[in-house]
Amino acid sequence: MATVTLKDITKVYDGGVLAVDKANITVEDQEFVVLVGPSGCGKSTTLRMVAGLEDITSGELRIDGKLVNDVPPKDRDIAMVFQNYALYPHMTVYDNMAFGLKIRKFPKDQIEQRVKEAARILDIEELLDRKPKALSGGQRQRVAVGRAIVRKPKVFLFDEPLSNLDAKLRVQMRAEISNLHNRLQATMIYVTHDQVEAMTMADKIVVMKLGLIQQIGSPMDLYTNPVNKFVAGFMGSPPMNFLNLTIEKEGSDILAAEKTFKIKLTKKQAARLKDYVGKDVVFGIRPESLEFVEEAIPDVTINAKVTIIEPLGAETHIYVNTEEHQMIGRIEPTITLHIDQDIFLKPNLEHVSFFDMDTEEVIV
Amino acid sequence: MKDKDRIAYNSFFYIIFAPALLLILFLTTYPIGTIVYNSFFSYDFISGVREFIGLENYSRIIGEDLFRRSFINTLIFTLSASFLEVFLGVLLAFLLYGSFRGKRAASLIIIFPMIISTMVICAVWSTFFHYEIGLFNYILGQLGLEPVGWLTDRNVALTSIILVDIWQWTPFAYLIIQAGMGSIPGELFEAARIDGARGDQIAMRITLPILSGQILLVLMLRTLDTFRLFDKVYALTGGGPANATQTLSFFIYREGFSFFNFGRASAASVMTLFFVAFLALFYVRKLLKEES
Repeated sequence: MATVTLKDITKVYDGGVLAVDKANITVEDQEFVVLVGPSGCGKSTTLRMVAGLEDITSGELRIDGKLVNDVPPKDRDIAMVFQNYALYPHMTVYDNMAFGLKIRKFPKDQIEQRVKEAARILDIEELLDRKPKALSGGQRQRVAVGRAIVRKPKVFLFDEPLSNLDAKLRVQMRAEISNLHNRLQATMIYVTHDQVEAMTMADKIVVMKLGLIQQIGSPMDLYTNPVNKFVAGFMGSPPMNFLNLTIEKEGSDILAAEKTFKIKLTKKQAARLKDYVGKDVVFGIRPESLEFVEEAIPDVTINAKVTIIEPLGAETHIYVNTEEHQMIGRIEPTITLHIDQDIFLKPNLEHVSFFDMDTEEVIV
Repeated sequence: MKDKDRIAYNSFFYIIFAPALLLILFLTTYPIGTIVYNSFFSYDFISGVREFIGLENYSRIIGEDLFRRSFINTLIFTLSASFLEVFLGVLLAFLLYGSFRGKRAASLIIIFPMIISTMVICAVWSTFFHYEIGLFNYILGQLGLEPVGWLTDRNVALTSIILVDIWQWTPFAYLIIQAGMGSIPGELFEAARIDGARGDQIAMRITLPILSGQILLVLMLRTLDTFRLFDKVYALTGGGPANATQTLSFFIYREGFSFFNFGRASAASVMTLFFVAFLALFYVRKLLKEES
């Protein structure tokens, strides 16, 4: 197994489009790293540079300490699982999985042993004689994963492998790939636009936007301590609520105010926000950090009107309007509300973030 | 749906398709039937004398050197032209794979021969082939080589016609093969590269096998078309020199429209039809197998 290090990796396409700008990522041995971000953020390009399918414009890419910028894909000892499976349509499942080994001139008995072993792990032993056309999407993806496993590569690369599967199968395959990671103890780099996949599978998440890495960290780290508004909004579902509030000073207190409510900030927040008095900031709060309370508490609660109620069984999502904003709250299913009801929500100030209006960087 | 309903439902379609079906049936079976019928007669079109002679047309024609010569020429032409066209078409498709500047222009130039009338092509090529003032002999002369009787040397004339056919129809093979290649997802080649395959291994073990359906299809279409070779012979050599470029179609044409011997022309037609049908059947079966 191996480490993968990206140092100032940059990709500029012909025509001058900057796809990835000075990416620095360290993938530790046996680590599961997920690159996540919206389309066009450069995550796939980054993965393809690691694979050797795209040239690196500048920077250094090392696998196991060895510089591989100019090493062709076949000599990087990597395996890749593609979004559209990329199975060879004219070959059986067995031959698809064996192809890489045959090309590398492995002895026949060893090929057979490895293919059968992989087929057993992935539960596709019954399908070895079939052609890809006769398989379902989920089965095809298993074969694609199998083709990667048999090679026993240093690094596994996954390029949005689950996005063509239906929701239920996606959840199942997600768990299976996680299992596979535990079982093979392999270094894996996984690209997705789905933050749920990132949260559930990753040891480490790299959030990208417009070719720039926004933040690298563990899933919970990113969730609780986002460095900017983009990361805060991208991670988590339903997403974080953003309210533009004005910072005010009343006596020794610092408050964040909208038209119809004010929130008194904690000492730590007050200290960081005192320079913003009189200015607007972005107040970010996750739906689960809003607590439903019976009565208004001055300088504590947010007053809002219920517009939509979505009972999900285990929890209920409520969409509410304040005077100037829309918010989503996540409340206990036992609380009964009705549409147009005026309610009071108490933010848990331990779990809120403030962002600068202009830079969108976190203030506190 | 109940059985009764299904019959009613199906019969509706049979009824509306019936006229078209009958027309097509008539248009194909009537001429063939007439030809088969005529092939059993000694039938001189000019005098109108028609006399039943059984299989005599067949036995006589098969025994004739000219017919055998025509058959062998046709076979040589068909095999070499169709295989070379497909081979070159595949080669071109590989060379021009992917996107690059000027690909559209290159493709346009490549398909140009296909859209010109065969008669025009033959007129142009016959000037190239001209023994004294032709382009080819001029080039040979410049290289210090002896001139070649492209259309007048009995050992070369058929090759010359094959050359013209290849020039005209390789673009067709290229078009179909490159369309097939374009429909192979790029990820497949990337997967093969990561699997460790070199360019030639990808071509031989991934691209060509995937294209086998298209290759077979072009091969079939070209085989069936080349087997009926007539126009180039008519325009370039008239079957000569010394029957070196006689083909089955040209044989039939001469029997029917030069000698007005409709019985013999019909018998030769029936035999040609039999060969073509056999070839078509061979390919269609292969294609169907490929598909399943």
